[in-house]
Amino acid sequence: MNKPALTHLTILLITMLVLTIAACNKSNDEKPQPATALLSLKFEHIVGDDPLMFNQMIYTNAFGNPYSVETLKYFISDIKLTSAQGSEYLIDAEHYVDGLDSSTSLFETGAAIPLGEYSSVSFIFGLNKEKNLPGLFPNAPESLMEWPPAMGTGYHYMKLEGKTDSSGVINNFQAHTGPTMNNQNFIELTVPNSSFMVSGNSTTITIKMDINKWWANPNILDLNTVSGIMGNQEMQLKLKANGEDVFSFGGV
Amino acid sequence: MISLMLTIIIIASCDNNSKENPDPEESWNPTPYALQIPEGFPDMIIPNDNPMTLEGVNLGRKLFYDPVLSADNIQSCASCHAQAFGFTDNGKRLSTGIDGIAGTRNAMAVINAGWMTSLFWDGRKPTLESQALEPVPNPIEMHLSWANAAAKLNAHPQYPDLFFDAFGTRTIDSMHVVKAIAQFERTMISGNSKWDKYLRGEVALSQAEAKGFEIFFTEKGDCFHCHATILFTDNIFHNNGLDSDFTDNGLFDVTGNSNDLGKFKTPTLRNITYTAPYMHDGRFETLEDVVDFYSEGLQFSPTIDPLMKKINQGGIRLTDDEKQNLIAFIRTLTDTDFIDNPEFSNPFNNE
Repeated sequence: MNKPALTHLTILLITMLVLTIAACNKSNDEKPQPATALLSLKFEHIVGDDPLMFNQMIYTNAFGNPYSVETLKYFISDIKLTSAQGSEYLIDAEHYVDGLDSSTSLFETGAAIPLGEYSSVSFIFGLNKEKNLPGLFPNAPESLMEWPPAMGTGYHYMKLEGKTDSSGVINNFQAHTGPTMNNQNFIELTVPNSSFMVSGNSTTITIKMDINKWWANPNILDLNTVSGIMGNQEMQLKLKANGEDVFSFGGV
Repeated sequence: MISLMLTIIIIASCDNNSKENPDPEESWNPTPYALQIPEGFPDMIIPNDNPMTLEGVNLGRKLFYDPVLSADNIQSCASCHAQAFGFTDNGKRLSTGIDGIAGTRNAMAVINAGWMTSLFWDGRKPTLESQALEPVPNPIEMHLSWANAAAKLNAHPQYPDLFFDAFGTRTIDSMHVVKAIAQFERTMISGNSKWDKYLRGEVALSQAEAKGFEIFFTEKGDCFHCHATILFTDNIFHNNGLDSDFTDNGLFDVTGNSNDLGKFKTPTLRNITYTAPYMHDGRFETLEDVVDFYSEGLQFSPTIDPLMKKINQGGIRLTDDEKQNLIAFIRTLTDTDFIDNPEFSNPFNNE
C-alpha cells in the first residue's frame, strides 16, 4: 500500500531535477522576463439573474414560452486579451463546456499572460473555419459534438436543448448551432465591460452566459420553431445575432 | 548519501510494480499486446492496472468460453454472448441463467466494448472489469460465488500456469479473472464494415445506401445524435420514447434521479443485423420494426429526450421507400470480418 507514497517521491525527485536544471539555466540567462500569471476562464450559466437549474420548467423567454433546459454543451475558442496599452494576446485553443459537468466549467488555458491592466476579453463562440474540420476531436465527449458531413461537416458550436410548454402540449426544442451547409456561423465577440487586472501567479476570469438572451435580442424566438434547425440557415443567423450579447463579464 | 537512498527507493519502487507475488525461482515475462486500432477510431483507454498482454488476452478468451465459471459447468460468457450474433444471445429476447430463470433485459453486444465508458443498459458499471464481476455470481445467470470460482480455477490442471503467464501469480482471485476477460474484450474491435471501406475510399455506396446515409446523418432521420461518431453510439442514456410509463426504470434505478426515468444506454449500430432482437427488452424482432417505431410509434413521457423532435407527431414519418433506404444504410455497418474473426472464436473448438 506504500506505492502511492513512492510515486509521490518520484514526482518530487523529478521536480527537484527540473528545478536544478532551471537554476542552472537562470545563471546563464541575464535577461529579465516580464512577470506573468496563468490565465483561466470560468463559465457560469444563468437565466436572468439566477444560476441555471436543469430539468425544471421554471423559465419564460421573451416570446412568452415557458421552458426548461436539459442540455447545454458548447465550444469556446481563440481567446484574445487586449491590454490597456492596446497589445493583443491570442490564446489559440479550444474548450468544451458541458453545463451538467462542473469539471468543464473551468478552462485552464495554460497561457502565461503579462501582469497588468487589460481593457477587454474576446473569444470565438464555436470554432472558426480553419479549426472546424473532422478529426479535431477524436475522443468523447468533444467528438459527440460532430456535425455530419451531409450538413456541412466539423462540429456543433452549441447544443442547447429542452422542453417548452405550449398550452399543455410539451414540445422539444434543440438550439443546435454550427456550420450549416458550410456557412460560418461562429460568433466573434468581445465581452462588454470586461476590463480586468492580471496579478499574482494566476488569474481567473468569470464569463456568464444568460440563456434567456439566446431567444431575445434582436430576434424574439418562439421555442416551438427552434427544432430541427441544423439545415435551417435563416434560424442559424437569428441565433448568431442573438448570441452577440448572451455573454457578460463576471469579474476576476 | 541522500541520492544513494533515493536511488534505492526508486529501484524498490520499480520492482514493486513488476508482479504481485514475486517468486525468486521463476521469471515472469509477459508479452505486450499491441492493439490494432482502425483509422479514425478514438483512443482506447487501457486501465493502468490492467495493461494488455498476449498472455492476458489469450487467457481472457479461454475464460470467456469456459463454462467453468458457472456453478453447473454448462454456461460460459459466450452462452449469452455468441460471436455469430455479434456477441448477443442467439436471437433471444431475454437470457436464461443456469437455474432456468430469465433476466429482464436483452443481452448487450460485445462490439468495440473497449471504448465504452458505461456498461449494462443502465450503465451501472464504468469499466469492463467491473462489468465482468457481475454475471458469474448473479443468481439468475451463472450463479457461482467468486470464492467458489476461484477455488475451481486454483484447483484446475491448467489455469494456475496460465494465470502465472498473464499476471505473475498462481493464486487466482476474481480480479485476475475479470482483468483477463476485459483484456480479451478490448481486442474485439469491429472496424471493417462496408461503411468503413466506403470511408477509406475502397467501395461506393449503392443508391439506396446513399439515400439512407442522407436520412441517417441529417435531421430527417436524426439517428446520428445518439448513434454518434464512428462507434455509432454516444455511450450515454436517453428515453427514446418506447413507453408512456415504465416497467423498467433504466438509469433511474442507478442514480435515483427522477430525470433519469426510462433512460437506457444507446447501443452501437455496428453489426446490428446480427444482434436482433432490439431495445433493452428485446421487444422488436426486426430492423423494420425498429424503423417503424421511430417513424410512427413514439410514446410521450416526461423524460422523453429533447432530441426526439417529432414526438408529438409520433415520430420522423418516413415513407416506405425512405425506411428501406435507411435500413440499407444501416446494413452497411455489418462487418463479417468481425463475426468470422478466428481470434474471437471458441478456443476449445481447436483443442
